[in-house]
Amino acid sequence: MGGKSLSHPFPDPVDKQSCSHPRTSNRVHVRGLKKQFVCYCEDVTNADLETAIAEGYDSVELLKRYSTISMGPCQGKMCSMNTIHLCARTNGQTVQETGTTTARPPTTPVTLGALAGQNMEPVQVTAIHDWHLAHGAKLLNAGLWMRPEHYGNPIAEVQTVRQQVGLIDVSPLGKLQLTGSGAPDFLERIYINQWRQLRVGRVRYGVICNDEGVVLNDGVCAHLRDEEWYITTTSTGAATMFEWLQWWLQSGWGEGVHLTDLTDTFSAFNLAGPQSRAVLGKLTSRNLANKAFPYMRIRSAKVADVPCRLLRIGFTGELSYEIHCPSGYALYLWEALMEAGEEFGIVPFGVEAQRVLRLEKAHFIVGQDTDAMSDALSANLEWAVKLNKRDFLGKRSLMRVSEEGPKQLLVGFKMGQSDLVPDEGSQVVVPQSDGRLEIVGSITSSRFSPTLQESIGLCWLPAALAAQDGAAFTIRMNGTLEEAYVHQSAFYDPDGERLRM
Amino acid sequence: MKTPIKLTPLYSVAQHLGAQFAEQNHWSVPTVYTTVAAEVAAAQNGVGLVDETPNGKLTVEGAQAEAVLQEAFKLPKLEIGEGALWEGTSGANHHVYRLRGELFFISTPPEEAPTAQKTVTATAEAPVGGASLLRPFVTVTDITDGRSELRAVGPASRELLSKVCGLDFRPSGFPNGWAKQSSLAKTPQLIIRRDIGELPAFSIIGVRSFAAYVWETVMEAGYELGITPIGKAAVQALREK
Repeated sequence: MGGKSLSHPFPDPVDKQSCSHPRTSNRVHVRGLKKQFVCYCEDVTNADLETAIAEGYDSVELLKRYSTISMGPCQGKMCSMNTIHLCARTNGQTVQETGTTTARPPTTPVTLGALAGQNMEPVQVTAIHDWHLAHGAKLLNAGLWMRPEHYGNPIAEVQTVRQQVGLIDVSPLGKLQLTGSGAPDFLERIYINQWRQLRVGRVRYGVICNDEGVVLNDGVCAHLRDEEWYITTTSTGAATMFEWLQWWLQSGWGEGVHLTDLTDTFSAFNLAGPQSRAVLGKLTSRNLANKAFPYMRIRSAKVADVPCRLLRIGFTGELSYEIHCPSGYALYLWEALMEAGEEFGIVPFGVEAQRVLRLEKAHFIVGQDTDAMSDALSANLEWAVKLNKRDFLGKRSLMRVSEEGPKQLLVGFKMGQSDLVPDEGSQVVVPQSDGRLEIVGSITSSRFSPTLQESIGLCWLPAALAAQDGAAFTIRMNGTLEEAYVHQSAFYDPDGERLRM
Repeated sequence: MKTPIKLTPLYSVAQHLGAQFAEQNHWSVPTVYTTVAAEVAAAQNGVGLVDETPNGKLTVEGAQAEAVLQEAFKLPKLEIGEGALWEGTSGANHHVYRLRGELFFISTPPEEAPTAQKTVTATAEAPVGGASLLRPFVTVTDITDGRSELRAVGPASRELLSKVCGLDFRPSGFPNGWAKQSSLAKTPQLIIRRDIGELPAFSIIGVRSFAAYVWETVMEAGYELGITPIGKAAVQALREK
């Protein structure tokens, strides 16, 4: 693109001499408002430009260099014209006299990668990916992973899990092996809760915080053998968690501990629903009776002749088994489970159904219901925080929060009108006497619960409000104000009886 | 009940390409895509890409890992990146590479990883000097199912990999029998040079969930070099030559 052809990009056929009014624009400078931005990339206002011109930077080239206008990501696409017009008017010149800044290629931003060659965008898929596609899964991106959001009807998937049995591919779950005599000490330092007493064969839910007490990740940790532990992390947090633990191991806490990433080595499925024991029982000789294999335990077993780790845990709130198998066997085992479940009406379910199922249990999701400011006490995890144990990551910060009391709390809510589902991110407001709305909180998760036939969710509220079960508050939805009520316990099966069936 | 069968993450890719499969030690592996002769010629004249995921893979970690491995397999002292080999119980070669001071990677023929794992574990647990207190702390983990293994075979394999990875693939920069950890097509991979006779060959080992993407990216990069998917039979024929 030569400079020549662009040197007069706005040829004016009208003879300058005969034009009594210099051409200025009414596109800029609307009187009566506060700040008026000319350049959105570099935050330059018309007042800035007028000041710059008054200081002597009155040529458009100088004005650009002095104010950085048109030098941001848009490269002048939004602001060049307005700047020239504004400069012309302030100088009492015509646009022609003012001229333009020099345009140089590339006029459209081009990534170096586009010039260099192949576009490489890594994608992670599970061992069941092709099966999902063949069975009508609508996929979503979760980090680099592609996961089934649903297989056509997420509501029906929720109902089948609650009444019969469903199978979800949770292979992206982070899976870490911790070995060595130093493992219990390491776990005590990394997690906010206690591990030393956890006996072999048991599983515990755990939360990992940073030094500020902010929730980084959650999952379960199982005590497999004397000196071997098996940790699961959130799906999108797996790589970060491996690095986080490795960082602490290499920073003085690594004595007698080895960490190995088994995320891809094991595929994982959650077989969930009241019929899950019956389905699994068809494929294994392991005694699955409640007494022999109770809630929150881990067992090794052959399922359909595949060596597996079975964890009796449940994000969905139903009797459920998380089945971890070597990834080479994953598709074989998945198909065996689907076949065994056929007589019980098994369906595959996706991430959307799982989100609804967990919300009915008021379980939070790290990163969805918490953010980089959410400490464990405010996230309503007081029961898990063990401030009486020796130093652990986040202890100092959590002690301070504990002394002062959390300002905001994560808590469940029900809508007054059961067919209204507020958008996630909606504001919780308190109407003021002068008509203004004071924002006091926000909605982080919301769904219509097909089980309860109600609109439910999780939200952040001022601690005093969240502490009153049943208290009414106001949510702003698309311009209207709607009433909702604090709900402190799980919406579905608050005593967790179905998990322990 | 059917017998469980193991599939590599490239199973459906190979199926799509019309591969013939054979079962080998529980794994279903593509033996040939077109004809063995054509695949051998492609690898000899350009570059062939083969799925060798069933190869056994172990990591051995610990401050005493080196001593334990030397004891178990009579190995020489290894520099970081250097590899060595020994004959396994089946007579086929096992390879070990030093990835870090305290981390080693063992590559075995398919389904021989458990035997190698037992040997290392038994050596590590054998009492040293009669006192159990001196038991070395070494963790041996079978990661066979967690890693895919693609192998580029042929004179053009260097040029191919140079297009997707920043390592120096010249013979001087990457000697035969060495392993390097790097980023390939923006994913973390362990790259091992293990020539087949005179033919340069590089194994690309990474987490299995990336395998389909890596295969596709490498195939696209190799288009101008005439890259050809080759099966196990062609590799066997090349080895015998």
